[in-house]
Amino acid sequence: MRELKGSILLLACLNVAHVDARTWRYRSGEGASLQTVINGTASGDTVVVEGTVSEGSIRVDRPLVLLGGAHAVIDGGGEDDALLITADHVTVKGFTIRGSRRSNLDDMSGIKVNACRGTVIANNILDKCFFAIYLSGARDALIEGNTVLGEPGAEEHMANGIHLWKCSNATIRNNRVEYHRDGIYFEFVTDSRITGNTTMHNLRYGLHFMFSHRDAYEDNHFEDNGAGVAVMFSHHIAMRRNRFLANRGASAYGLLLKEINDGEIKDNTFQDNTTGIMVDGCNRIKVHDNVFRLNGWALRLFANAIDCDFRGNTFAGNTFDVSTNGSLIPNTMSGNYWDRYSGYDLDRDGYGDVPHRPLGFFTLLVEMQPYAMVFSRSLFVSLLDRAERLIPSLSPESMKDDRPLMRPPAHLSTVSVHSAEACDGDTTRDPCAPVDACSPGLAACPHLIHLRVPHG
Amino acid sequence: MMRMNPIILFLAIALHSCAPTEPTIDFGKAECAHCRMNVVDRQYGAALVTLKGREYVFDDVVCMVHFVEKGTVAEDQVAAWYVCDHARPGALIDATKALYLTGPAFRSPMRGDVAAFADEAARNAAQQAEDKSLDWNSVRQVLTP
Repeated sequence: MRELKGSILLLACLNVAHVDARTWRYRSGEGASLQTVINGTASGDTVVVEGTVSEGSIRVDRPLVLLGGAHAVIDGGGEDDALLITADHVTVKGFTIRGSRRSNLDDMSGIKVNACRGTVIANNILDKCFFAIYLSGARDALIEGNTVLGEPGAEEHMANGIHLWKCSNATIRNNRVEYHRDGIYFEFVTDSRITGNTTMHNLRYGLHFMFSHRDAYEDNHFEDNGAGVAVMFSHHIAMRRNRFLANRGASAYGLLLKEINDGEIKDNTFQDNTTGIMVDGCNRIKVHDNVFRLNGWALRLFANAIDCDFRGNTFAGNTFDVSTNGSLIPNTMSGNYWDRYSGYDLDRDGYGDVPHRPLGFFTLLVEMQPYAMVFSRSLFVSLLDRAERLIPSLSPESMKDDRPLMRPPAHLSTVSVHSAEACDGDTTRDPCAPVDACSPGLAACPHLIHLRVPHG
Repeated sequence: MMRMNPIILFLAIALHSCAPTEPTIDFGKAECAHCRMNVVDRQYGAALVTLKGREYVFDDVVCMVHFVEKGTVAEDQVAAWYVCDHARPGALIDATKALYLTGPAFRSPMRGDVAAFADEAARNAAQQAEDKSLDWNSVRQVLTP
């Protein structure tokens, strides 16, 4: 019987060689293996899979559409990559994928894409894979709507969730990545977009850029990752409307910028981080219209940051607004809102008449002697801070805002959303959902995030 | 029973702690002293101890080499160099005595791509045809910018 089916399959495949794309149905446990079916397809065909396929690593070596039907699972069974794609224009949709081999020597993955164009990976669930989605040398890939879950408590033994290596023109959209090493990792990736993703509870970074240029990431949610988001050794990166929340720890940052040139950071929210943005060795970065709330340090600018421009940002409720380790600060600050500003606006133009110096005496002291932190909020420190403000002697001359806003920027309106952490680890709730969508009791939750977004 | 003078006991304990001890890397929490990345990869971490006993940890050997090259800690101030044993993730070994491999299979966090091994047998077991063997001096030469 099996042989008969096999030959029918073979005949069918010979027949369709010249006909337009056709659709194959495969139900696990019936007839040949999925790999045999795939090997029998012609370029451009569709294979609909139902049930759990556990025949080890599946290899797709021709342009195909793989659709997950009812309960479609591909289980690699711990044998290399669960699904390996080596052809252009392959689409994988609607599967649960698990069981890639864990190995520190080879980069084994749930879905691996090797040197392909036009790959689409959409609406899959990747369950406890070593690397979940791994693209190497891919062009024009679309990764959309996937849920990538590592293993809580075993993040150290997981690799990155969505990992791109030497790719270009990729789109990473509306995915969710949790419990991996880095949520999304870019190395040597150019001209790509990362939009609307949520990455939480990852061991190292929610998003990590290395040597990647001309990329943009927008409207993403990064929360409770080991060390926040890192953008390193890259140029022309646009970072807009993202949320950097609850990245706490001595070496944790909302956003870590290291050796970045010509970037743009606009309309982002930094809340509840040990350090909002750490700027180390960066040139020509525009930091405009962001909100820094309730951070330890909102902004740590190292003296090797040059020609960075800070404008229209809101600083409220931070322990330290700005800190630096040097004296010469060739950067510009203008038109920001500082909740600590104690000046006046006699001409009523909306800007304070005397400059604001965000760098307090105590900030500088802590930068030199971290243990001085124990005196934070003491009477003596606030006296010293006040004295420094009246007669500036230590803070660098250029580190001041000549036109401090009297009110938070008016073009922003407040939207309240939930932080997943606020809901006692209830990670099923969409952190981006407006509060109104949640139960009424939660609206009083102290960890609500009040985002300021542009009107319209 | 022998009575021990409490002062001698105190000195013994105090002086004992002055001897340079092997550093520990708090993986997942420690920050690289050079590149600021979190140290998570147990196969590529590195650490050095200065003569004064201060420890610096790194996520990659290349960071340790650049760190000393930059002069934050001068070379003659380094008391001991350590690297993670690639074959025993998380274990630190003496960097100057370790044996090294570099090749496309080794992808370290900061692109140093050099793996360290405790002995010849471990290195031979991991070596692929295209890998190059190195010793500590040649590692430093290769990684120095």
